[in-house]
Amino acid sequence: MRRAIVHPLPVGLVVDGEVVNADELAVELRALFTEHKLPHDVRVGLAHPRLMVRMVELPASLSGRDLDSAVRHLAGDLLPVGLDQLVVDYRCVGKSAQGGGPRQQRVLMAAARVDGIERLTRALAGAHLRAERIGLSGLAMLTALEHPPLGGEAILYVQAGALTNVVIAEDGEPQLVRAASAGSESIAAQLAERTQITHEAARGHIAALGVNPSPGSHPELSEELEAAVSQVVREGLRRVIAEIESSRGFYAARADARPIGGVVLTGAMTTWPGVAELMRQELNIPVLPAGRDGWPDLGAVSVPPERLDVAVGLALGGGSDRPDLRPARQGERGQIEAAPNARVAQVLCGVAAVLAIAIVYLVAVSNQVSSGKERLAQIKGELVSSEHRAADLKPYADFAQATADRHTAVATIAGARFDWDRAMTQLSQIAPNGVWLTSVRGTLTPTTSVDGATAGDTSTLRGAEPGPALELAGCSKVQHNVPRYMDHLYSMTGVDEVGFSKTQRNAPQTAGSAPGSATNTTGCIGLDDPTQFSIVTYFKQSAALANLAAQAAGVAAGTTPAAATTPAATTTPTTQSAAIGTGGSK
Amino acid sequence: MINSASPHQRMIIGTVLAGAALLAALWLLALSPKRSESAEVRSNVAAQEQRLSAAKAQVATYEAARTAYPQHVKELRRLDDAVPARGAIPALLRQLQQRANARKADLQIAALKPGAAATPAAPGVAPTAAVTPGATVGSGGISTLPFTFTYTGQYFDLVHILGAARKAVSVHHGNLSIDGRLVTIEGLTFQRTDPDASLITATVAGTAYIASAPTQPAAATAGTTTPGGS
Repeated sequence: MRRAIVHPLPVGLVVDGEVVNADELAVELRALFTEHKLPHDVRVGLAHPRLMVRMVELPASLSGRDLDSAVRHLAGDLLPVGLDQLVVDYRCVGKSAQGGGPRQQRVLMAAARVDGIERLTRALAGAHLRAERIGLSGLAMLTALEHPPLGGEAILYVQAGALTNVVIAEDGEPQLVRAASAGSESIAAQLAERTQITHEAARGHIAALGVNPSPGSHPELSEELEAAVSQVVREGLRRVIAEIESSRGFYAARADARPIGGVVLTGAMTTWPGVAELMRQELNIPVLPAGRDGWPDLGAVSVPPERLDVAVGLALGGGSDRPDLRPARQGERGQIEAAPNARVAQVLCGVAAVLAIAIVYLVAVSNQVSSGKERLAQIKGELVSSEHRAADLKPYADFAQATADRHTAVATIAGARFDWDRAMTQLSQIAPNGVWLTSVRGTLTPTTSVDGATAGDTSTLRGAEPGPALELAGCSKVQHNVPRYMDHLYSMTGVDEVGFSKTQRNAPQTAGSAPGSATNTTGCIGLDDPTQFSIVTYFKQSAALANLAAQAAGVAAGTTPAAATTPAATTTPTTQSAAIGTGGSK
Repeated sequence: MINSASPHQRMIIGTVLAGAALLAALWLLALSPKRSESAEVRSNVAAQEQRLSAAKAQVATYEAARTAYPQHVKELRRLDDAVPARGAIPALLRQLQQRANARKADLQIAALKPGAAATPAAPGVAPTAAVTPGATVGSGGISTLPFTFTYTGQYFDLVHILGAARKAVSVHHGNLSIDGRLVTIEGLTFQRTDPDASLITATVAGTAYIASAPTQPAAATAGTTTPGGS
């Protein structure tokens, strides 16, 4: 706490301690807090005649939610309004004296109407203030002025301000808290009405003059006004003292009430001239000094400390001091007090729920295992049946596969064969006039062995290409027909290359000479100037044909035929012969 | 910390600890083993379902093969004309002789040569025992039977005989046509012995094929004639 500010409110915003005009009060508070740059967290002291504060005794066994319900029902019985129209809070102040019955606990109960509290909270909200606590002004005063206990005696605390707060405490614990409308505000209102002056002026006059104004001390005031002030203050003070006496009587009616050992007087009225003395005389109780030693340093404050007791008490008290009449606190309080048992129950329920979930999960997993095993047994049965069935039917599949393989094999062989009949037919059609063959040898591969006549001197040339070939030996009437014949050989289907072993012009042969004899060395019988030739015609070899040939020759199949190369000519001209060309010409 | 807690807080802490201990015990003793067992069973079920699915698919394939068995038998009989299982030599001789006689040519089977090393014609088919003397046993269900014949006659008659032998088994647009024995010609030689005559003498080396009959299903043999019995 650093500063103390007293700001009188305009008339009509708060009447007898209750907020009447929340909106205007909000504007006033907002301006005050903005002007002085005050923090927005506030604690409010509440005191008005309609605020009910009672000390009740309840069984000591009650606690938490039960105690809360009991207090609320008591408040409902004491005030003629529904419970939903009340804000109730309480404070346990100790145990009652041990008697014959069950042990009792004393509870200081406070109840206020919701509408009044809501007007207050609306004003605070409108001023952007947050209420940390709405406590009782009387208890705040007790906190601020707490006097050391008087052994076996109670202490009366009286704050005579705008209202009169009376607190009777035993050993520091409040036993009676009461607020009465009698106070400075009612006195000022009465003076203003009687003398026809403003309320603010009346406040100033009564604070300046009190009950015993010194003659001539205020020359600006008339004697009539001074007399009126003195009279009104005396009448108001009597009402205050009557309220105090009434409270003493109420306390003294208690069976275990202690005698009042002293009174602590405070409040704005006690600063008026003559008021404190008059109250001491009227109350007839020793006046005790106000215990303000524990107050914080307020610095240079022009306001008398008697006007700051409630504010200091609120500041010194804890934020959680009770009773706390904030409406929103009720449910929370109930929850907090009911929490321990409820929390245990919640935790138990939570643990039980988790265990239940775990057990349900265990059951579900067990069911999955059981159903899985059943399914496994079923599958195994079906599998055995299927495998038996498959074993029974497998011969059909093998038979089908063997048939398909046989079909494929036959089709492969049939499709890969070399077309000898076509080659022989075309061979017979391409020979020019005057050219004829004396022998032909056809083979699928160079290694193919065929019994019978050889076709001239082509054995070396045949191995030049791996595919089918026709080795031709023949005669021509004229030598230049031989290359012509070779050109024609290229026109045969599938011919890849044509090579020749030799072309040789020989001496005329006579009929009747046997081939190979001394008189018939060429076989070209009946020609005057015959030309003998040996030619090899190579055909292209497909992969299928190569496989087929390899199978026939006992060679592993699958190799691609080697690229064809032009066979080398091995012309061997004699003295009478002349070369007519080179092999491979197309 | 526990000592400073209220009885309610102690009760809450105790309850939570007991619940946690119970949960841990439940997990360790019951849930975890059960989960492992469940995972194992699921894995087994999946594996067995896969096996069952494969077995069912195999059975379906086999069922289709059984349904198509008559067609397969028919096809095998047709193939048997080209690649017979028995009676290979007489049939081959007869066929070639008939074609030569039709052209009024002289054709003589000179030799049935034992093949050196026939290779499988259809890979993957189990080897079978030779059923015809002179045939070289292959490992593909088809064996080779090399032969040589000599021919004396007109040039174009030989062309015709070779053409007929080729066309007896032919493939057109993927369709296999069978009208006789499957024969391949590896080589041939011929020459004119007399320049004034039109006759030629030729030697032709070829290969015929034989095959053993596939094993028929026992249940089907009772009412079905075995293919390959020609």
